[in-house]
Amino acid sequence: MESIIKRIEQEIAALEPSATVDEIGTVRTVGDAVAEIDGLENAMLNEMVLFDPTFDRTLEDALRDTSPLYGLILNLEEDGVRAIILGDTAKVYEGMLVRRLGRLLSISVSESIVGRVVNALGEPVDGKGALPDGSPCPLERPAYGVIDRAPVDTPLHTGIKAIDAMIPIGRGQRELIIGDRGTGKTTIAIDTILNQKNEPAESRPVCVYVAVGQKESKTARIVAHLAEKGALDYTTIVTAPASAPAALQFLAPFAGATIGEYFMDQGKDVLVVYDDLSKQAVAYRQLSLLLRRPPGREAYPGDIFYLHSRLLERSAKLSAEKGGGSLTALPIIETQEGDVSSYIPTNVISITDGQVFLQTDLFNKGVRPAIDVGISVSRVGSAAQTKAMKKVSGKIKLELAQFRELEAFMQFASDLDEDTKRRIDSGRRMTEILKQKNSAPLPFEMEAAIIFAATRGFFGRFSPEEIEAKESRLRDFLLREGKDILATIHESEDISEETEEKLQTLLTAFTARTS
Amino acid sequence: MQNTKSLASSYAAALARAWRAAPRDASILVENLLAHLRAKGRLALLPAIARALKREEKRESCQSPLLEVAREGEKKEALHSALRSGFAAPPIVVNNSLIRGWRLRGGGTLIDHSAKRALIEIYQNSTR
Repeated sequence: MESIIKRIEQEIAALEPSATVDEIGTVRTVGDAVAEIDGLENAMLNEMVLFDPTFDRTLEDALRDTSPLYGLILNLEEDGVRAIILGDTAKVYEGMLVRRLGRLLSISVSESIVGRVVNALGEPVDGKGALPDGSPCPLERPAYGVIDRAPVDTPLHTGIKAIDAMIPIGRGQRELIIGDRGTGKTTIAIDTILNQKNEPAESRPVCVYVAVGQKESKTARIVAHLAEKGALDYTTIVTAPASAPAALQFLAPFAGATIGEYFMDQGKDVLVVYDDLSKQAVAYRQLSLLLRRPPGREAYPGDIFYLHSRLLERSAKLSAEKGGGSLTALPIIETQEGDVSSYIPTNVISITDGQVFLQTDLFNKGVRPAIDVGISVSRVGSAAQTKAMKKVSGKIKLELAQFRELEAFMQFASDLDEDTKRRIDSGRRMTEILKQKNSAPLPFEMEAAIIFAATRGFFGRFSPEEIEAKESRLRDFLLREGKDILATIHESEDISEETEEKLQTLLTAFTARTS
Repeated sequence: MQNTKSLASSYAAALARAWRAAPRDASILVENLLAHLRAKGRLALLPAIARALKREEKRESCQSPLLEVAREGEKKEALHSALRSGFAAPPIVVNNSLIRGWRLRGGGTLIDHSAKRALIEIYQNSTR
């Protein structure tokens, strides 16, 4: 306190007020987080404005609350502008002075933002104090063009066997996670963040988790979970909870992308999770209706597709000339009753490079992660899959999809031929092997070794009910006696003939012991 | 409701524009307006037009120049500065809350040379 007083006294002593020139307007009407403003004739679209409550108050009153209240201009009209209020609407009143700031909506980003929880304006909300000044980065920025990009060729391991084997994700890819509520969408995203701990520090992606319209308790739980697992050291959380104004919920994913781009521009790899874009679309619909923009299908505005495409286009794998950084996006979309053909899901499916589709039925059957391999796909990830994983995973996806079809057919058929029985048997075992508990991502070499064992028939003598326990024992066994083999797979990202032989021998020893 | 409001605003804007373009006897303008509204069966819009005109007048007054000074003694210097800034002899009022200096607003611009603004800036920078 004393230091503040001293500082103020010094400043007052040296005070020689200089003139400032601002372009101003006045609030005509305000309501529902939207202000109509007279004046501001030269204002730009997406420009920030400052609602100034200090203008018509005495100094004493003004100093009671000097926290800035910003607005974002979204409509330029004949007789004024309409701006969304990025804060407490109750503080804005008719006749209030509004200043143009002459800059697009920006947030301050620096290295210190890692490990922190911030709101959509980049302001810390975790009670750990202010962030040091960083570079002002505009929230809306054109995505990198074709020339600046390179093909996706490096894997981003999720640590989830089913995804890394069948729907591989590459660094710079946009992979949608889609499913009904309570099917484990967030769990997959969080496990992917946790798994980055298995990556070497120099190539470990910086992670950004954007929580849009979530309950604050859920976000708090995720933050605590990440901190407990040591993942907060490389993760930033951007939160716009359900209680936040719609404007902040609409902007939060852009803030996440901006933070990600800051690190990507430094040549680093970044993973951004948007949880979830359905809620962002709802917030944007609310704002658009309040801004009196014409409603379209399901009352969403005409540019709802552009909202998501311009956000997700910012994911990229940059060329070596641009530093070689990447921004991988894992957007999440919540469906209703498994309907992937409704408006927002189809939009985002068409924008992204693939989707992981989670099914309630599978989830309820105990298949977790509840991935429906039939309609899940990764359009560019296979180019980024490691040779080791490619060799071992081979035709798992096809066989598993066939198994699910046969399984449905089996309910009606009483008599099955030998080949069908074999396929169903093998499908059941593979389903068991691909099951994985949450918060337990595996290093990719371990995933490769387990899938190798499964595809080479080492689990063939166990019943499906035994698989979970046997797989757990195999993991312990490999960690104990196969360290060298795992290290070789990790370093070479391949399974050479020599490694394959060693692994075969080790697995034979394992089955001999466990039988 | 929305249509009535926008129609009334349009009439008010047209009336204000006609008045600004060629200031003449207000009663002629109003009589012409009444005749038009009667012919179109829109006389019920009259109160809404009056409200819209009041809003328009208020908006204009916000745009018209006003020079505020902290103390009587600063009037001369403030007026001199205002004239240099291109404002032709704006009305001057004393506003003690400025503490020292002056501020001038008009035409969508604010020139603030007051100690109040400077002190608020210092406070914000110190407590941020």
